[in-house]
Amino acid sequence: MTDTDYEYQIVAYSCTYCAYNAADLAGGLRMQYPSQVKIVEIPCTGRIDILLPLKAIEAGVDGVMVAG
Amino acid sequence: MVVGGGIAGMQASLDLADQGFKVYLVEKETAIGGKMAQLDKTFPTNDCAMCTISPKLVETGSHPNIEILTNAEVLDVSGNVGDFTARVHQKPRYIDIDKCVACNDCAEACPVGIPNPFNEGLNNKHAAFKLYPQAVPNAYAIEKAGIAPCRDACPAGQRAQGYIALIQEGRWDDSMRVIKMDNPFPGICGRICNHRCEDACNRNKVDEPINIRALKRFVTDKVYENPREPIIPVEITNSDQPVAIIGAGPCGLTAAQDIIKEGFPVTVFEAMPVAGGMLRLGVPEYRLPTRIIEREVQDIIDLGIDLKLNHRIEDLDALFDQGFKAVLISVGAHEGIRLPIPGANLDGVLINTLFLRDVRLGKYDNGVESDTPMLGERVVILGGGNVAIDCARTAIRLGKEVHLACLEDRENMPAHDWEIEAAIAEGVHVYPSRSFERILGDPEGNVTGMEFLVVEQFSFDESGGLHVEKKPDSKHEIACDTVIFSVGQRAGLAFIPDDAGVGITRANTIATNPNTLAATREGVFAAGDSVSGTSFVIEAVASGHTVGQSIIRYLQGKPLEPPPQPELPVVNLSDQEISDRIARGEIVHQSRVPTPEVQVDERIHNFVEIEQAYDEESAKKEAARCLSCGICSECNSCVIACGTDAIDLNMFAQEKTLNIGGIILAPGYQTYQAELSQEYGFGRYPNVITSMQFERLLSASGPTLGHLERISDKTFPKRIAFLQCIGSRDQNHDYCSSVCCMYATKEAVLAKDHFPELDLHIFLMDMRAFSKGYQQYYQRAQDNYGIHYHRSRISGIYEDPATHNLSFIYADNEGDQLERIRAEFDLVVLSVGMEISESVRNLGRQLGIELDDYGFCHTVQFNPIESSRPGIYAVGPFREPKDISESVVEASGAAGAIGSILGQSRFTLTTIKDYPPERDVSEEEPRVGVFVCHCGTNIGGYLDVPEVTEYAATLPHIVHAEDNLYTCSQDSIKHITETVIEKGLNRVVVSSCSTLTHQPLFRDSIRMAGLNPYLFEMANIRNQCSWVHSNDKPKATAKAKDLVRMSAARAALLTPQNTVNVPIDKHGLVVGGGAAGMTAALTLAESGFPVHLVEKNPELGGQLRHIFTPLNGKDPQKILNELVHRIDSNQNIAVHLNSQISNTSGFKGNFTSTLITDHGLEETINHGVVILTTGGEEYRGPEYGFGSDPRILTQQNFEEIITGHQTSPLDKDPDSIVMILCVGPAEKYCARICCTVAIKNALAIKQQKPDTQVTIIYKDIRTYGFKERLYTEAREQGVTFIRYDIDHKPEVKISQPSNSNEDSLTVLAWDKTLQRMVEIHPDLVVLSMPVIPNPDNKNLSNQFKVSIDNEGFFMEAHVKLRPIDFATEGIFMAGMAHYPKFIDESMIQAQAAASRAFRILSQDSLIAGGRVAIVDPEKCTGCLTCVRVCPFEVPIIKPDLVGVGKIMGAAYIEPAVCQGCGICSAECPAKAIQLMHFTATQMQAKVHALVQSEPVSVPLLDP
Repeated sequence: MTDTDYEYQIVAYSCTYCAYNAADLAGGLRMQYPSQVKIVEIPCTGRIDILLPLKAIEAGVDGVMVAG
Repeated sequence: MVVGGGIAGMQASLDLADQGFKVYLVEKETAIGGKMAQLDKTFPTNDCAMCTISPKLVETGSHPNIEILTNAEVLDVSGNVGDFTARVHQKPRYIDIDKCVACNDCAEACPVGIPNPFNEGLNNKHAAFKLYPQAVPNAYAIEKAGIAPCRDACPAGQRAQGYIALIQEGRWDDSMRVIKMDNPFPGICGRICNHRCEDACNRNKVDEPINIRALKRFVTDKVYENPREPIIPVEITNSDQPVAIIGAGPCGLTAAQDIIKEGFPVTVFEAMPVAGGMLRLGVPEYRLPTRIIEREVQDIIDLGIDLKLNHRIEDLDALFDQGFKAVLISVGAHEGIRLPIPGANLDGVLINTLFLRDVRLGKYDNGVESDTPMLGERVVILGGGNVAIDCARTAIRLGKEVHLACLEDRENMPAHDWEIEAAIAEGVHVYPSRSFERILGDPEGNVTGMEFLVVEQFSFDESGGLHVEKKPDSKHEIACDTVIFSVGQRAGLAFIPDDAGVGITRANTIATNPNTLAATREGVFAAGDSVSGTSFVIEAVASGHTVGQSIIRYLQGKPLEPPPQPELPVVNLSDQEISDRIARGEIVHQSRVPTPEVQVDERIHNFVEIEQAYDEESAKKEAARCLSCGICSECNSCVIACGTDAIDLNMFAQEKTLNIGGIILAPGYQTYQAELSQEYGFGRYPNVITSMQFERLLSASGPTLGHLERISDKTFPKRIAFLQCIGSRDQNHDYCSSVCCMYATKEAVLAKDHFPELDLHIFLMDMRAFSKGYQQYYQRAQDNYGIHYHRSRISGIYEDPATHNLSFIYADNEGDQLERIRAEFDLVVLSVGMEISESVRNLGRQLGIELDDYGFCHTVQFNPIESSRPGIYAVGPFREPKDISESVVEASGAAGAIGSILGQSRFTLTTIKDYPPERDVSEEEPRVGVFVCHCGTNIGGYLDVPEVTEYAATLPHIVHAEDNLYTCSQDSIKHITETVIEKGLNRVVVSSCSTLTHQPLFRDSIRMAGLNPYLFEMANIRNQCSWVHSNDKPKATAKAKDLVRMSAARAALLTPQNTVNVPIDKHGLVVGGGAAGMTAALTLAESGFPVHLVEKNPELGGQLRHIFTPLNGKDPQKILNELVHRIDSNQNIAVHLNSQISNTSGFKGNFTSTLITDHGLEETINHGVVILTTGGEEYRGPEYGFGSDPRILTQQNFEEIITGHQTSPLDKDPDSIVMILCVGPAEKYCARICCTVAIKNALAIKQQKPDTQVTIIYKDIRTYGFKERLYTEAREQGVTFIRYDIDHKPEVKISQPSNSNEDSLTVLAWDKTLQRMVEIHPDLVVLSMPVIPNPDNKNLSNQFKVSIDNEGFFMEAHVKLRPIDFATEGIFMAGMAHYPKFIDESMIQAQAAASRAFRILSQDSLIAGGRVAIVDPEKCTGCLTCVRVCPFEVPIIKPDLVGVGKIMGAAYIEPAVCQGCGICSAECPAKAIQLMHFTATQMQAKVHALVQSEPVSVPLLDP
């Protein structure tokens, strides 16, 4: 992933118990990643209905990541 | 009270608190979490340890019934069960936990670095620290060991460690600030201090002390390179209380500074034309340049002091007449002494102080000696002190020939040795041991020489008289034209009249109270050399501070003596501590970095400063030698950095008294100190590390962020060896640590997972994979990961000093031949065992409980977790080495035991928070308030918070936006509540840190304002924004705006979630009447809850009826009888024999079950919980000829025979017995108890008939924990052990030997050590048949909707942290239905199951709702998808619900048990299920808001 002029947007659906927690830890460790990644907290990756990522793409985001 | 905040302590606390008890959790560290928090992953599931423990941490930290006491240790406990009184000592944290917002600013500011114990010393931490990122309580602490010896030794208490640490970090200005806190003359002391700090320095015990003085000099030079900043004068607030100070020396000026800073006007009178006293007039320029003195004096004067130069005070009374309220006499000791010897008054005889003063005042400049006495070409100095040396070296610089004579011999000259050496080097002739006979003069009265005698020895008598023994005939002369007396100085006190009321001592100093320095006249104080006689500048400073404080107190009308304060201990490191730290590699030998000097020939003709300062690099290098003895150096950097004023470095230790009913001790273990096993070279060889260090290396949050590297050269280690049993199963430890085999396997597997190229070898004796899933894990490690296991115990390691690679010899008997192999590795990991620390042993002693020789806690018979003192329970490794899941079981078990005895006192001490009624917002338009947090500089430093706030205000529905320095501080929380009320907000967004740590706090703040807590939303702009984009402020700011916009969009759509109360049935149902079932039923019933105990057999007892030989001295049948008796006599227990469950419905708190007896009688019962304790049974398969010959027995049969409960198949006692382990299913899973049972029975037979030949043929002997002692005893008793592997199984044959007409048994086994087949003809073959699960389990799993594993044992919700719970709420398991285990283990688990049940039964109702799934039956087709996908078995199809198309039957999800994961809502094909608070609309709103910077309108309700 490289930063370009194009402001792409990536939504990272993250399970509150693990990936969201891990993202907090990454912050604590001052690890750097592109600012276009936006973490959205979810109760469990099981909550991810296939429509959610599809609708996100439809709305205009450039990528969806599900982490948990 | 629970002692120890590790996983066991947390579990015990939570179980007790959930039951309605008030819990004090006493933790000796600054945060809970214990050892588990240090682990990377846990076996056998490879779950992330932190991910699994973190929710428990948060739950424990936020539980209203748990009070966590960190930094605390129990002193003692008095009283009895139900009414204990505990005294707890709590060390100061130095940070107010209520004010700390965990922003990290203090740690960032802290210059002190010490080895980080959480990372096992692999990196450093600061003295201000948080134990680990997820620590609970989420607050920092400061570690202070005491006062560093340097500070203690300094008269002025100079915090040298502090400024040295700051020098290491290159923070020159901060360093200067720290010096000035105690000493206004850094540049001066950096040059001429006698530095007692260095004499006291602990580094003396390693090599040489830190060059503290030179470092101080360095930093002042560094700061003084810059132009002097103007000093802002102090505001005078007490103008009616002026103070006069006589003498502008270091003492007077120090006092002046302290006094004026308190707002009192100060006038300093100085007789000389310059200020600075002896510093300016007594110390030669080459040691102390004038510019330094002038700058430091000016810094004080500019505070607003009225300095009157050339102003000699002639009359003390006149000062009071002028209105001064206090007078300080600090005139120094400027009067030199002229000895009364012949010729003392000749021309050319000078006095030291006057000579040095004249030189400094420039009277000798350019060779013009104006009105001062002439200095001849040949000078003799009389005296051997530092001032004499100053005179000598000054005279040298004036171009004279200089001789110095003194009474003392060379070794005992009072001057510093290095000064004498330097003087000699510069050309001074030194004559020690001389008596000054007379000064010779010419008739004109001019000096011509000095006459001496040689002194043999001298002494002073009691009254101070001098007695000199002179060598006869030693008279000699030194020709000279100047003689300078330098034999002492005294104060000039002529201005004090005899009637002034100020007492003078015999030594011509002013008499004072030594504590306050008050003179005998009120309002008059005296300090410095005029009180003490001549001393060093730092003493003058110290004296100035003391008297300054006295005068301030005097003027404020307070008692002169300062109030007493508890003193911190001085950290004098013992030789042992030093050598330990060297052994661990924490201290490396490194001598002083030398200071540069101007060479002799360049310096003797001028007054250029001789010593030069360090350069930056040398200074940092020298500073890095500091051992940071005090840990916190009290440099105050954190105090300045803290934005919430949370730090108080003067906190004291506290003692608390707690009244408690029961005590659970879960103090945990310490890992074996591997440096004690010197043969492995830990501490000496950098690439030998401990398993815990390896764990930290693997951890993504560890010191290397999960990168595997060697300590010596940071390279990747390709070949790694794990050595087992380091500190276990050896001469000093007769027990097995139970966990090391598995954790080494886990570490190897994880390492291999990350780095497949690794070559990993584990060297062990027996593989102890004895719990559920462990054998399978071990198998996968070999088969799937290619990890090599070698049965060899390593006796020593050699290091190649060039490569730091490690090698050792091991015996390999895996192939056809026994070989000795020398192998080389890049890294060696020592699998260190468990020990009980000295502090835990002390705790045991203080509490009066019995410990064994190793410090492990003894427990009482029939109550496996109760210590020898009733009401005090011991759990976790404190009782015996064990892993996490067993510790958790024991913790719950102890909570169950306490719940059983203290049942009546539930909810007597718990508190309920009073909330206002909830406001109905359903008819209101969204009115959202946004609070954006700076988090000090943690957010504000990396992104533009005001800009984000302004932006937030422009978003739709936002009616209020503000930024706060710390949104979570106590006043901000209150402010949010007030703002919600004041502005009529109905939704709140906080943009700050993480929901995981802070959401409950903010939700509570809006609940206090009458809003439903679900009307809250958080934007994580710290952990997930400012910190991860800290290098790009514009992008971080833009992202923060995006995140706030997303949250605001969702917030507008949030709806209140209502919670409802569901009543609970207080009955318990226990299925299975064995040891576990009976214990569970008793624990519940004795706490007052009625229990149905269902047993399908006609009598209680289960497998316990077949166990006869005692283990650990406990008679199994006695246990059985006692249990049955207690059951029979308990009215709360309804025993249903010959009965089984035929049907169950309902959910947690509200079950209904039907019982059916053997005769077909049915009974329906209601109950709130279920405990399944259906046990297991001994496998009976055809392996090894079982069933074909009565002499081939199972272990259970054998036990019955040797205890006389069954007849023997032989007509005589057996002479030879073979036992074969791991039969049938045990080849696949380890049945845990067989090894121990076999050995127990082998020992029983050996006891009955010692010459019986007993041979045990085994794969691994798995006598974990203390059971290892049985294994050792069996070997000592002559039991033979033969190891086999699965490819060479033993064979059992029945044949008829030619010389007999009877069949005989033959066992053939391949002995790996002998490398040959062994043939045995035993009388009996005993097969260790494993425990297999109860075949009923399958049926029960269907009825109760609970899971069973591949073997047929019940499956727990989580193998480590929920080993008693099913995934289905309200149902628990215990005993062998879960996995094979010993009686005491079953009983503990049964108590634990009761404890889990108490959490439900003790409540009156369940709170249901919130984040739960809700079915819209009108859309439901009853397709069963939700029923199948739910991991918690919650959804059911209710036949009476009307579904889609008015067809009867629709899904129902009980909110009381829904876990809120949302799987059903995602999977429902008809979209009939919504997860409340995470509806599709709410979630999509975030994405829409993200991509469209302009707000979009989204429908308020889901379509």
